[in-house]
Amino acid sequence: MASLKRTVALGILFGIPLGFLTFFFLYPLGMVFLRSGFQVQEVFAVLADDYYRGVIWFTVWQAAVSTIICLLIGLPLAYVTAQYDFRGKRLFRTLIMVPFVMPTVVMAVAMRALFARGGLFAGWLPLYETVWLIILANVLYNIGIVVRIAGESWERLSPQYREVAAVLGANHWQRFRFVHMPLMVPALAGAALLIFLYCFCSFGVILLLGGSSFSSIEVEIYRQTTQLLHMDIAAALAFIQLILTLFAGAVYLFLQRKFRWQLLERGQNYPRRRLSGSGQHRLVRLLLGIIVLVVFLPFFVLVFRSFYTENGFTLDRYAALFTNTTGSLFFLSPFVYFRNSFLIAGGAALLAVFLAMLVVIADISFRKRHKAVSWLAQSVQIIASLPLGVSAVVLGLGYLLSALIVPSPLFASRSLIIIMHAVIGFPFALATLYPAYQRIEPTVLEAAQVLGATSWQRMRYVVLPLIRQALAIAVSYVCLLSLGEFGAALMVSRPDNATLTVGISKYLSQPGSLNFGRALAMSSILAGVSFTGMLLIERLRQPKTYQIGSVQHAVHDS
Amino acid sequence: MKLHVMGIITVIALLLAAGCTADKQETSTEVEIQTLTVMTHDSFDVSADLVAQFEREHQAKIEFLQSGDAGQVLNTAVLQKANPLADVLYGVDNSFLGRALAEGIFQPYVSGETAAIREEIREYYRDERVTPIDYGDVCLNYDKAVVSSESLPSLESLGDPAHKDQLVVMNPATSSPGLSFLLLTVGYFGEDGYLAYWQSLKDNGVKITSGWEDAYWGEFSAASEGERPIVVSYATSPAAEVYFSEGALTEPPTAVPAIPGGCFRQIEYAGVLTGTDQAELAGEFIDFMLSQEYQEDIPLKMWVYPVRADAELPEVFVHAPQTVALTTLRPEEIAAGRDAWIDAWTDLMMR
Repeated sequence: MASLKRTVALGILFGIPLGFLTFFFLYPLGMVFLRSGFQVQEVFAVLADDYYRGVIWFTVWQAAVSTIICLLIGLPLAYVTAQYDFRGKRLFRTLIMVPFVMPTVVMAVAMRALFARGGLFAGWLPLYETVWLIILANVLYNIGIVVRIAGESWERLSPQYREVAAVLGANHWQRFRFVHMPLMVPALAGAALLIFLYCFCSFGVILLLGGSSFSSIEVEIYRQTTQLLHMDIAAALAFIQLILTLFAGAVYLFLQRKFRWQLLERGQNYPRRRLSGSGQHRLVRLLLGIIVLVVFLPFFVLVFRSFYTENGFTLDRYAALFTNTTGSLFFLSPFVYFRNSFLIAGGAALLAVFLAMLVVIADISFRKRHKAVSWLAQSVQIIASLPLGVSAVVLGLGYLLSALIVPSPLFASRSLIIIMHAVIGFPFALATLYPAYQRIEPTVLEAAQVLGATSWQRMRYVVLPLIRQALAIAVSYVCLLSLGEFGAALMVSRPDNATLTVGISKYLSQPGSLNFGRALAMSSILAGVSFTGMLLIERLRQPKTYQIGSVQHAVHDS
Repeated sequence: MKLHVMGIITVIALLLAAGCTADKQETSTEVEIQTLTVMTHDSFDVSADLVAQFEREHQAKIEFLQSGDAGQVLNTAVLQKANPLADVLYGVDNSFLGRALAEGIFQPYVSGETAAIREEIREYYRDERVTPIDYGDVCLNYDKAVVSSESLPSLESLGDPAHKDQLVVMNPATSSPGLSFLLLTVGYFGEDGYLAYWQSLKDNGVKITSGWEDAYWGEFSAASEGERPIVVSYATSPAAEVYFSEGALTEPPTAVPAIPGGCFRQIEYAGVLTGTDQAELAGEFIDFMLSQEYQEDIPLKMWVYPVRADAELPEVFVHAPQTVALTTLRPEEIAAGRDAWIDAWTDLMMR
């Protein structure tokens, strides 16, 4: 009986996310391959072509270099924020995520203002029209992922590891290399996978900052589908993209499995290190200040220009957002754009986090009993990482093509955009929650069980408080992803569902300084809204006063 | 015990499902009156009043489905040919027309208003399946503060040292005005000569961007911090500069140079999609798009010209030259040559 119940439970836990991914991801994708006249020979033809080989190589190369630079710069930042307590830490962590949401068009405008001829940095940083500008943009977009996902995982690591290693005579480097690094692999691998896939599929960055002299697989798919109408070549490229994504996903899973640790959490009564001496203080402040400045410079440029017109500083550009200059049917007030963005981002975040939690719970609670569970969980994880590696153009097309089974009222409705963003956000949610959940010590849960806690109680009072931080990051990231997403939403949206990002691109599509000014104002609103939202989420996740940490320590000590 | 959690999960799942159904019911009550779905590109725009008027008169509801740019729209329509989601497609221009007709996505409909269309537009291409609605001319724009009107006597002079590093164009493989400009060079210099011309532009430091937005807002000196005073844009762009000027400009900062063959005409067509069960209403919508009121609404919405000869233009269009020296290509020529031209261009300019 109990085993029947368990099988049912397992079925529900895996069934919902798998069904969701099948229906809203695999099926639309399949439709693209089916309807485009895709043939496997085409893949070989594409691979045999020098030009496409170059494009594929460049795509992988720029994504890999961007990921490595993100890790190199991000690790020290993650270390400092994880190991030390100082004022402004929370603000720093919020600020560093905001660029993630900047629409590429706007980022491109800002980067140009900084790096193009006559720009602030043009003289001593000749990056303009080089591949390094693309990489710089990728790093600015993604550095927050390392600081947040890796940094917070690091933060929760018990200082005992470091202390024990120190007592045993390990020097700084040895502690870093042989203690921290292996322990951090799962979280770092998660962050690296997300960054790699994000850059791997980046479309806008390469299209807008590459000055058209660089082409990625994604750009090539766009070119083949929309201008040349060669659906078969586009499908072949999408297939290659998918295989490479699968490969990256497999490497990630391998690392996850190989470095699976049940780690001691930092106890609440274990104070974080404070910076000692004003020298250290100043150094850290300076370091973080520089980073914030660099990451935020494009944003400062943007906000400045949204207020500064030929008539000096005015609110004119914001006021113009409220006037329907031409009596257009598709005019929406900024409040409506905001509401749409808010509902879609919120809905997508809840849905993605809910689905990810199901997978995580299923994997962890049943893994020991059934071998098959572990296998199932792995396949869900691999499938779930695919949406990040699939071209938004292809996914949008797939949705249009699968309109036959998606009931037509749902089609192009807000729900469909929410679902779509949840599909894209799912891998982020999973990569954030997985390591966090995995690190909960079984003894803690067993103790709760022994004390008579039901599954629900264990979930509510033990698990949720322990993964609170990870939940907050997952929600933040899916929200940011949804707020900034634009390619796919554009293809399946009705005009009245337009988000802030879509609105910005509408204003940019016509000449006239008023339109440009509106786009700047709306971009500033978008960035401001994202920033405020992130700060609020940060507040929400402040640990409550009941001390899970101390309970845990009691468990360790026993 | 674990069922407790399962119970909650099931409830949430049911609620989500219920949410979706509620969503469905909400929209399905609207289906009581006839709904006409118009598929179009994301640059499409129209006055709210006009659409409401059509809906009242025909007791219909119009849904606009904006499916990306013009290429994406056509592509979607082709792939959905068997089961079209829409009844009318608006926004296929002459560079894609050949493909649209060859794929058979349209069924015949000849509007009673056809006679009112400008003769040169009507005669450019006649097919009972498509109706021209508007046209726009892709032309060079220059920054009046930098370039003098006399210094651009011809397309050829763009290869002269006087215009070194001055021109910004868009990649024809990713941009619709970019494609028009490539077609212009093919039409003007011929299939044998256009590549040599592009080579001269390349040698003279032409800048290539992916889309109109990054050329205009990023490189064009009159609209951004960019340093290029000559850009590929539309004949109406100077008028839009005046209309959308924050400081109420009376004269545009930009202009279209009067040079022989310097513009390429994009004509946008609408058609009734094959397989619609609303053919009658779809036809009425096409008539509506050709009505004088609708035609006069077009210029300020999309910054293109109405096809009706008797449609009056808004005042600000004095800044948009209507008599331009055109280079033309037939839709069949475009359909036959486009891919090869783009490939050859990409080989020369990008690889």
